[in-house]
Amino acid sequence: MKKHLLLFTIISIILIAGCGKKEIKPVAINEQSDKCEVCHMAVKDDGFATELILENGKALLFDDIGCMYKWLGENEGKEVANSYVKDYKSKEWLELEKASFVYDKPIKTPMAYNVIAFSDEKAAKSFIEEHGSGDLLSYDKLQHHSWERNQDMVNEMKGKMHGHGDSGEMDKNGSAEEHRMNMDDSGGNHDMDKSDSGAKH
Amino acid sequence: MKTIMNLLLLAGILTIFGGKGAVAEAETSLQALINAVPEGGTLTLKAGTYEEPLILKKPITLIGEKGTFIKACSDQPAITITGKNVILKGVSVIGCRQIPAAVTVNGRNHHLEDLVINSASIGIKLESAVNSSFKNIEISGQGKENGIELWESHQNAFETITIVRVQDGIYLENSHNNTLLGNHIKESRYGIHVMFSDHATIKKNTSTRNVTGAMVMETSGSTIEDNKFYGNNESVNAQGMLLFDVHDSTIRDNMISENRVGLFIENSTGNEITSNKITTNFVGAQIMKTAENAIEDNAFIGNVNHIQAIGGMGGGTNQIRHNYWDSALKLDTDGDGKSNLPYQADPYFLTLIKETPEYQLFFQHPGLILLQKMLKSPAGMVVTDVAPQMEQSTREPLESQPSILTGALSLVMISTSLLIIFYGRKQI
Repeated sequence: MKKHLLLFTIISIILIAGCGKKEIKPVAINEQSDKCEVCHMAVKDDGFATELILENGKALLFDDIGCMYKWLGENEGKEVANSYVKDYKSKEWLELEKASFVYDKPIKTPMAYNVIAFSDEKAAKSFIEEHGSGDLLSYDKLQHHSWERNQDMVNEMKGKMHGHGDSGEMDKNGSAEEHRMNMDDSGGNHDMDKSDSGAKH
Repeated sequence: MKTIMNLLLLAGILTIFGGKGAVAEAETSLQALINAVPEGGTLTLKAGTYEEPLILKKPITLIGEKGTFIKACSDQPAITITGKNVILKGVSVIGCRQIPAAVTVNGRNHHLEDLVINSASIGIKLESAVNSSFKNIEISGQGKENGIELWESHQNAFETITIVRVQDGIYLENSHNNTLLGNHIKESRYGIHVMFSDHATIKKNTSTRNVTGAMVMETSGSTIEDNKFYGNNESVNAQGMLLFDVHDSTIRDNMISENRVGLFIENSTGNEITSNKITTNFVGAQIMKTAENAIEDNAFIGNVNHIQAIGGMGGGTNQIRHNYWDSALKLDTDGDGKSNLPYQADPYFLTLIKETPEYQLFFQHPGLILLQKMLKSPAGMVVTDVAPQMEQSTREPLESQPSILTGALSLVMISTSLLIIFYGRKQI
């Protein structure tokens, strides 16, 4: 009898402990109501969406992986249970830590961060091959990615140019501005071609 | 030379108008006719349906008679415009989802007018198009693609365009100095969507029954004036106008009514938000992480919550003054038209429901009001108008101004009524 009681207790403890542990799963996107936690744009169920599940069970959605990293940077104290990204090809959820990434300026993403995710390195490499260019990023490398958008570079450059005493009048003309940036860029590391900073919607 | 040109033109027009045989020819080889029109020439299309994609790459004018349809369902746009000085008028375009866009425009100095576009694809797509104008165009879609899309396209003007059931009505990306004037967008996702585009002029547009009237993101030096953003309230994320990363822009004289959130502002600096009429929204204005904006002379009337700041003001402050708040306690002791009592809006309830949406059940609950009074929000989150207006000062729409005619009519009616009563009584 004692043996049975002991067995019953052990099974009960295991069961209770098992029930207590929440299984973390990505939440499906509802295009009608979900919006990006950072930029407030509607989140489409496409190959660019990402998601954070917080320890309290709350799911936060982002329309661009760059928005998710911006949120993480601004909310360091928040406990994140898991993070997910959409596979660019299959549009299925992947665990962020297990995914491989490609960064390339001509890749149009909703907020122009130009990074997309793949299920593994092979898929990422084959995309780079097909696409003709792109930097392969592992999860570890992604943690050191600058998340600098082309537009940020444009603004930065504008600031520099104002600092050098340029008149604001030139800024009013888009083509003049572009021309000037290309000229100023000659000594820098960044390619200032604005045509690459597009987002897809 | 001029005579030869005229003869050629006449020949072109006659070919199309020259009986049934000519029309049949036009239906099968319209592109050949277009190619035959000399530079500066005009080709008038007889009413009918032309089922071939067209390319206009020379400075010519293409005019459709009433009832002219261009139908396309291939991998080509129905009409491709490139080069310069192309004029397209009076044509209806019918497209399907396969085509990249019903009309694509590239090049400079084009003019498109009196078009009707009905397509599941993008209505008009501009890529590196400069100095072109678009007027009196009707676009209807199926909600999946944008009505008008601009990529790297500058100094274009869009006037009196009606757009219905598309994704975003007018979408601008990396396109500067464009003007949107008097357009009407409804039943779409975002009426006007500005991304990375500076010096946009958005005037006298109406955007209603969309998820968001105007989604203005990542722009500087823009003017948003005299627009009507109303009735954007059916989505849980509905807003009249969202300003995200907007800098040094002017937002004035807009009517923002009956939206879930009237005006949403985040990460924005140096803007002048003045003389707007923000009425009957659930939240009049919501401000997050913004600083150094002037929010002055606006009228906040009949909103459930007039204004709130969630998440603090990013360390900076905004100049909020001289607005009219209909629910404010006002007292003017020095007769300057401004109340001596500051108006304060505590975002307690909205902060609470942001974390736990279920608390919305307790809206206006006496217990919650008591809690709000006891647990005041931090000073940085309370929005304060230091000197609210005693009277509403924003310009009233012209139609509601009492006219002399209305006054005279009222007088006549009152006099008639009095006469009837007077003589009626005498008879009794």
